[in-house]
Amino acid sequence: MTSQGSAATTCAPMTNPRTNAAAQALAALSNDRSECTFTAKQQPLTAPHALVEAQRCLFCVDAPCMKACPTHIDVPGFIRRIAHEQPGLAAKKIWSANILGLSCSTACPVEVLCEGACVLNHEDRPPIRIGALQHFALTTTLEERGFPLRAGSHPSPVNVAVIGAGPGGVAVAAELRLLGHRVTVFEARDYPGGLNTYGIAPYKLSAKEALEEVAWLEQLGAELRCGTRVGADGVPVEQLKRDYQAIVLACGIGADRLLDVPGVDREGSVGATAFVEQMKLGQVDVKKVQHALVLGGGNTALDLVQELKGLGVPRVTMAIRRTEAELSGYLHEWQHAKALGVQLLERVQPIGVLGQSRVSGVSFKVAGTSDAIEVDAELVVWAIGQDKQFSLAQELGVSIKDGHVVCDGEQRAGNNVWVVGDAANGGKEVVNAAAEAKVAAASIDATLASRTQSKRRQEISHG
Amino acid sequence: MADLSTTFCGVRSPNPFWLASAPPTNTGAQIERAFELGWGGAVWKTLGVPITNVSSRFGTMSVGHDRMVGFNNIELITDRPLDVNFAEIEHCKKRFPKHALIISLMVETQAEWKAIIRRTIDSGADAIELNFGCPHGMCERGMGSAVGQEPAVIEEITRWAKEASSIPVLVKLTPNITDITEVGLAAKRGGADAVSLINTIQSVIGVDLEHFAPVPRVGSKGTNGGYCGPAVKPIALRMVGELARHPEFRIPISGIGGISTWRDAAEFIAMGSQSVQVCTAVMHYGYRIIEDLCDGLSQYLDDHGMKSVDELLGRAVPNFVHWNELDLNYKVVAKIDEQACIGCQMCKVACDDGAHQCIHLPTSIADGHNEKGTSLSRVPFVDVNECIGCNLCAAVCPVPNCIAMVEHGEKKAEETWGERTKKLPVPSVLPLLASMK
Repeated sequence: MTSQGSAATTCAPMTNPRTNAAAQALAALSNDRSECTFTAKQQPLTAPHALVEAQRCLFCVDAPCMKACPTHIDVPGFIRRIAHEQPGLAAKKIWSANILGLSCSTACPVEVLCEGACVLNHEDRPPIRIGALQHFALTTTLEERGFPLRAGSHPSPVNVAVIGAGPGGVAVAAELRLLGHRVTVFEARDYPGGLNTYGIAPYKLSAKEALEEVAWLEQLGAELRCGTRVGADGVPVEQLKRDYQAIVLACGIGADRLLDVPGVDREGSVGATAFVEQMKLGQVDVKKVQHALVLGGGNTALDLVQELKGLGVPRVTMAIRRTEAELSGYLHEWQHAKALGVQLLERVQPIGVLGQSRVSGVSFKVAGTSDAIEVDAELVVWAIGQDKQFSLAQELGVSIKDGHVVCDGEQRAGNNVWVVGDAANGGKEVVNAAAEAKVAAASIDATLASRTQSKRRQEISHG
Repeated sequence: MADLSTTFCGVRSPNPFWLASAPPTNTGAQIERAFELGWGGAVWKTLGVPITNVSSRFGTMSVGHDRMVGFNNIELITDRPLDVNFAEIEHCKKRFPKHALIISLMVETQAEWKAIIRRTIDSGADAIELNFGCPHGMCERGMGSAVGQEPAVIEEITRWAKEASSIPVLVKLTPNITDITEVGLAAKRGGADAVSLINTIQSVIGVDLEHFAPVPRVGSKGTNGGYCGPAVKPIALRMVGELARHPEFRIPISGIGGISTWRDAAEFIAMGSQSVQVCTAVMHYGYRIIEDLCDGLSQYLDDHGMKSVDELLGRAVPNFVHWNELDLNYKVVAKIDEQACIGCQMCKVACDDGAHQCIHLPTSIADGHNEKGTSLSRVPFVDVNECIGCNLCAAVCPVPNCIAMVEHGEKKAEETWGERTKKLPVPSVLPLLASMK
């Protein structure tokens, strides 16, 4: 894993004792987390390599890479800064467009976004390594100069409550701080970062890296209250409505969905996000697992099979309801998985989890037949989606459709309520959450703050 | 395979590739190693009264990751004793009798010239090259380009050398002048058997932005140096061509200036160089590049049905004309191969901002893709009625052969500016200029 140094060395000294939730979380991380056994999938670029790679960029007009990025980072523009040996200016450009630019640089599916859109693909040349260049610019800048953006000041700041400290919540809080507004983030869990901390495959983004990013974004001055629920069993929604002028819902979507089949709750039958969370922040013991079955064919499943391989499970099989050609996850991820030796069990539907006290296998119904088969496995991971539950919807006066909160083009979901992240889009990438956060912050600013006096300050910290 | 052997002023060499007088020809051991690898000739690093060099001598200009596109040096002539140099020359010539060994010389007085030429002839060298070109360090002492910038002095010193020499005398010309033909003709009047050009160009290759001194920095200061390398080739080609086409010149030319590949060499030969001299490319990649230079030139000659280098010599010279002799009715336009296009739109922005605004994008979104998978909506097209055929788009296009410049419109009779202006009234400004003289 790339080390970017601790938050304390890369950020200005903390002045507000309440803005250190991420630093506390970092301090609490144990060193024997299972995620530590993974190495970064994207090898970081050295300075000379970054220079050569940046010089390959054609500097396209109306660049397709820039259009492909949900946050529309000026990719040719930042690469040109790297090519001209000023990565600090590249970093400023990136963070101005995407406040989560660092986690996106390793967590983004660049193969289907910026790098997939690079025109060099059309000439059978490798595309520019945009993700790696972005990572280089940002980490170099953090090491050499620290985080360059500073909180804005606003003559009549708006008080905003953000529900959820995942990628969307953290991003909207940071964007609002850049505009000079006051933000309090309520996070039900102990650690901030949401899926960046708990869910992204560790070879893309470790929990430590995710928390480090939150730590220096926290320095912009948003108040982050971890372990604080909103709703019936926590801070009442009515109180938020009373105390804050705007509420941003960034609660993500629900817990892992497990099919209600016999034996689903046996030991060794687990939900995907629960398993990954244990792997990233604690330990998972797979020493006795000879064969792991991952149920589902989406991107969560594709990450999981690669993670299980990385943990040393000898045989990993992905069981899907349809066929290889119909996999809902990214093709490039499946190709990686295949290269690792992951097997595919097609056209099957789980009908029971076998075993005594522990899981010993799964029985499947074979599609289009009346046959049932049994497959031995010591670990069964459910990656068939998450429950789309929004307990706060009614109290906040927002409506739900197709598994996500309904909003307009400015992420507005109700009267002074905005929504970002998975809750808004039903479950997409970190970069989508960052894009939505930028839009929501601008909308809150335009709607509630005096427009003429709003000023966004972005200064490089060291001249 | 074509015959690469060359005879230059009676001096024979196995091929036209000579090492230029510079660090790669500093010692006999180096030159012998180069000859072993296949170099046809070498011009020995300039001999004279040995000097003291500074440390930190070279500065470079890199473009992107292409290093040493331009190169500059503040090194002077040999810093080794003459006795040592001459002993090595003798050894080298005995060992390689069929290779061209030319000795570069630079001294001050007629007596000194006479003496050093005598020793050079006695060492067995094939020819001498008078260094009238060095643009730094030596010119301040009244030698090098200080000589080369004064036609009368060139002529006089060349005459001294010719009187003292029984072997061919080449005069190496400096490009740091206004008119190369003026100095070339002066060398010829002095009796030069041939010229070699160009020597390096006076330059400051960069400024150290931390120490605020020119590069290469010697302690806290820097000075102007001599510029060479691939970037100077266009300047050298023009000067070689101007001499080659001059009706009163007509003596052999040894071409120098940024030659790095067989193609560069072929261009110099086509422009009138009987031999070519190489330095920077060897300083960059080593003597081993000779293999590719020879093979490449041979292959080119074979491919074009030429049996020897002589058949290529000067082939481009008759077509190197003054602007007034160009055909105003020749018209080309850009043609974009939409199957090859990758949709970067470099051509479009270059034409919009740097040329004549005649490349456009489809106004209605085309749904299709070309063979490469590029969305057709990203593939620009050329308005051939607006295109003036400047070549800029083809120059910036990153895809080989994607943009071609093709002849356009009905073929008209050739007409030059000279011909056209004969039909026009004399512009009023010309008599005015004449009256001011």
